[in-house]
Amino acid sequence: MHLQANDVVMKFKGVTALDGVDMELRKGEIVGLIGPNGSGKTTFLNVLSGVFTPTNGNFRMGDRQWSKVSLREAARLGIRRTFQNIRLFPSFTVMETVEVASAWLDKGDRRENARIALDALNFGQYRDRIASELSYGMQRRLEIARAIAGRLEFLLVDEPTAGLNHGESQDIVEVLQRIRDQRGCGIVLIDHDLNVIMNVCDRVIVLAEGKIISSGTPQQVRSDPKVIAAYLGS
Amino acid sequence: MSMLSGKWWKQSLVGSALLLAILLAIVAIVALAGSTTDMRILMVFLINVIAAISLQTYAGNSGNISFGHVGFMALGAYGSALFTADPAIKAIGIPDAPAFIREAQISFLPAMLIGTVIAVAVAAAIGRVFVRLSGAAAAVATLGFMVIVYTLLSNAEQLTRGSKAFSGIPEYTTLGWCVALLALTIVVARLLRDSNTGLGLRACADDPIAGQAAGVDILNSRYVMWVASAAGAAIAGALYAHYIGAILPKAFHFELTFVLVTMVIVGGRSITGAVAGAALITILTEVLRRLENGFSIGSINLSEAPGLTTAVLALMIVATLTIRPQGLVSRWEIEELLQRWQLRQKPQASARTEENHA
Repeated sequence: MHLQANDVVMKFKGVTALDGVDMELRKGEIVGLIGPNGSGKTTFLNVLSGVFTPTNGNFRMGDRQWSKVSLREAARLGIRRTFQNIRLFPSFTVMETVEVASAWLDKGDRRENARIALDALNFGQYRDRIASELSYGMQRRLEIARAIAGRLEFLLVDEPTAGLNHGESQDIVEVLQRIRDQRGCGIVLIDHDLNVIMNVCDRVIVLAEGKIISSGTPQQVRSDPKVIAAYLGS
Repeated sequence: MSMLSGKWWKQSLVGSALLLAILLAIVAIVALAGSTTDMRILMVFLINVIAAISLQTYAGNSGNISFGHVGFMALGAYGSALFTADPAIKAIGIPDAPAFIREAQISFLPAMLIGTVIAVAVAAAIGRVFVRLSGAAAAVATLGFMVIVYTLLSNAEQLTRGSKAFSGIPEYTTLGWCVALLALTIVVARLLRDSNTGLGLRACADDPIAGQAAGVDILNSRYVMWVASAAGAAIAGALYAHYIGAILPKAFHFELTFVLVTMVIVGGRSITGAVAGAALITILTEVLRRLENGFSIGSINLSEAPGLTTAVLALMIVATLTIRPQGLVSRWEIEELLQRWQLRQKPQASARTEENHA
């Protein structure tokens, strides 16, 4: 199944954050979304996941087409996400954090389902800990655990390795690959660490000033003169 | 450990049973050893616990405080009182009321149901607007609702005798009724809180964006809690009316609102918190009320200290919000508190065993 974005435009009071973005995402594929600061990466994720309603454009997944979707509806369609600034439920335990998604986006026993999602990310002994008291790296992983509980077609991950050391980053990369392999979902990954992007992604899309300026395999993108110019400003 | 990893509703029932056991112990002690005055305090306490739990069902789950639930109590109280009071007294007190009210004299349970249905109907009608608000806007809107109910009751002289007391209400409220309805309130409130709806709503109270990204329907969840909590408040109102035997709009105004909100804020965000808050505030209020009649500390003699109770309750709110904003028991329910306490004891216990071995 594909997720198709057609001519997506997002304007904020005269500032054009996305300027006619066409994109096709496929299940089973990890796509890297890169570009300089302010190029529209996070805005695209926000539009795709229903945080913002795009000024123009539409999306299609399977036989469904939409131009406007709420966060909740997107989640129910299986378009799940994490946030650039970690958004957990500060008073919740690790278990409860994932239970919320199991309760609302999955069938069956919500606790059993949450336990399976947590075990998949090695959270076993931390289940009763308060989410906001976990280490930063664990909080990032918990956000991913919550995002994979219940229906999952496409996982949008915004800067999952920001603020993490090399070992923790590597751990997140492995987690994402494992989720893709086990669940067969598509993953869109935004990250500033180009090593992470180049290592893990099947395909890379480069945004600059709200437009796609390049896309292809990591090797193709890396040697594209337009990408080099956008990053180095020359 | 096993209890908290099983089915959620089993945990709700275990928690309800524990809470009820403690409350029953208090009831038993007061009933066996207390004076008539103590019994009166106990009855008002039990009614207040029902009201506080009901308020908590909305406030604790949604994260929005409500100053309006006393309005639902008033609707429950008047709704039930109007259909049960002696027709002879109503003929004198409210001669212009419609005949179906003036001549009605039905028993407690159906009358309480009428009061509850009225409150639920009003809550359902206004709820769609209220659940769209959060934070200060939600709080002020609920305050407005409470004032509207008060004003309407104070001016509907044909129906309520206006601001004068409406008396002749049969004193149906017994200890048995209070305990039975308290048990029902606790179980329903716990099941609601721990249901998918309650869990999702509490998540959204922490972070609405993340909650909705996890699939939670925030508006409908709030609506469910709003309507359910109005029903609970109405039951408390009916119990109150049939305990005191006479009601007036002023009984359901700022003073009671303040007491209930204090109970919930001081207690914490859980049902256990509402009960703990109600217990603490009731004990405190009784002690302070005695002091209001005059007391002496050392060489300082105070003949009278009117307003002492309100002042101390106000200080309690300020102190709670500054020192422990999450309230006495924070977000935890009783069985969770016990489990966390046990887990804290375990490492210490095993450390001690190791020391002994060494």
